[in-house]
Amino acid sequence: MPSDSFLEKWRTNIEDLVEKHPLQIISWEATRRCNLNCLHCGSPSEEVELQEELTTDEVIGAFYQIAEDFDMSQFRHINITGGEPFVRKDLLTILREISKNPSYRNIDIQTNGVVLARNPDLFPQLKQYGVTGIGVSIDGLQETHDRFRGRKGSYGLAYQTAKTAVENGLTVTVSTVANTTNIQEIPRLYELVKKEIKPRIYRVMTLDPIGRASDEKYMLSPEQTQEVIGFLLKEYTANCQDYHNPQTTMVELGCGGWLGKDLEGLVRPFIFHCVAGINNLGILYDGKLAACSNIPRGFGFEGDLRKDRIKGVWDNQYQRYRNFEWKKQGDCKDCGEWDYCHGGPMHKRESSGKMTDCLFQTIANSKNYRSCSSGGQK
Amino acid sequence: MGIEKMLESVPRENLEKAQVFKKRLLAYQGGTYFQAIYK
Repeated sequence: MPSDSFLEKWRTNIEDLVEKHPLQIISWEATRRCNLNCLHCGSPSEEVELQEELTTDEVIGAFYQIAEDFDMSQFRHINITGGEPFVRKDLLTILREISKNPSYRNIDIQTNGVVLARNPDLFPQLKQYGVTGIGVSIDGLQETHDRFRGRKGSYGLAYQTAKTAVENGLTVTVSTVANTTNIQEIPRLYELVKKEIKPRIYRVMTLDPIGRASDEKYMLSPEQTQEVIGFLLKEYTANCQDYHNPQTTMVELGCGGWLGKDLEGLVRPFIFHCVAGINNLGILYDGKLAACSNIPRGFGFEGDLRKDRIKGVWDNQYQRYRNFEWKKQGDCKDCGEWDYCHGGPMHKRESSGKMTDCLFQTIANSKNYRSCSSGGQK
Repeated sequence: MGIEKMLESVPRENLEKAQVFKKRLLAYQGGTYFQAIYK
């Protein structure tokens, strides 16, 4: 295990990032509308007022306001999620207009693949308008994926979109939400994805019991969570020496949380720390200002771009994302990992401060967090 | 299973190799990131 000096240096870097909180990522929830009806959707359309969706001009105006008001020297990228972003008929118009600004030439879109599989001619346009990465959700082998997505044939569309995106030179992430119905398929799915699609990253996330998955029957037990992370540990440690090669598919655990000093850094090509509200600004479908579209709306908002200047909100709000002490309760209170995880991902934290799920406690102490509510997956 | 047993289940040489990259991930201040970590 690396000595404490490496960990302490990393912790210092994190604290410096929190103090400076430079804007580096904009996560834009383009819409809550979708062309599928997934069983496990963490942000379903039925929970919100769809008519409140931002207009074309409001979206473009928000991005230009940010470029005008913020120091963009450290800005990295825009991450577009949904719903399904491609059900917005003005998505290409928005991309065309915002990508005229040189800060907005590194854009990622998370999609179910339905629209792009049927319109592969969109790929050159997307690249022209600053899109550099595509994330495609594949939640099991064909039968499992189609059942989960509520539509026969959706597996083939997701597969085709991911493969075509790779062929078009985009950086592709294939994501799987691990749940009780697909856990046995993940090793086979990974081998298939690696061999046939060849994405840069194969990402696995653990399911959170919210939205349509709130009845918890899809939520992993501690033993199943250990099994999934054990699989990623085995794959990462066996193949990480090849990760410098852009043709290699890397495995990673998504942003489910800190895994403990001993295990962190051995299941993904980064050391985890939640950056919601630290360098990541979230713009929700209706203009509410948040920090990450995975955080449930019940957590509340920091502002509203229809009423507030975004820079003022970023500078003066977001204190609960940057001051961690209010989260030091429950399992966190006396935890030896606190100095590094600071209470873990914000999508697993209720506004009261209660933590709904901790991967470290699940793995290290087999703690079972079922019968709680928490954050999102798509 | 616990973290210790998870780590014990991985071949020792793989774990030692990954620990080197972990140090680089912890110490890190168009491809240059992964080149810096994994080359």
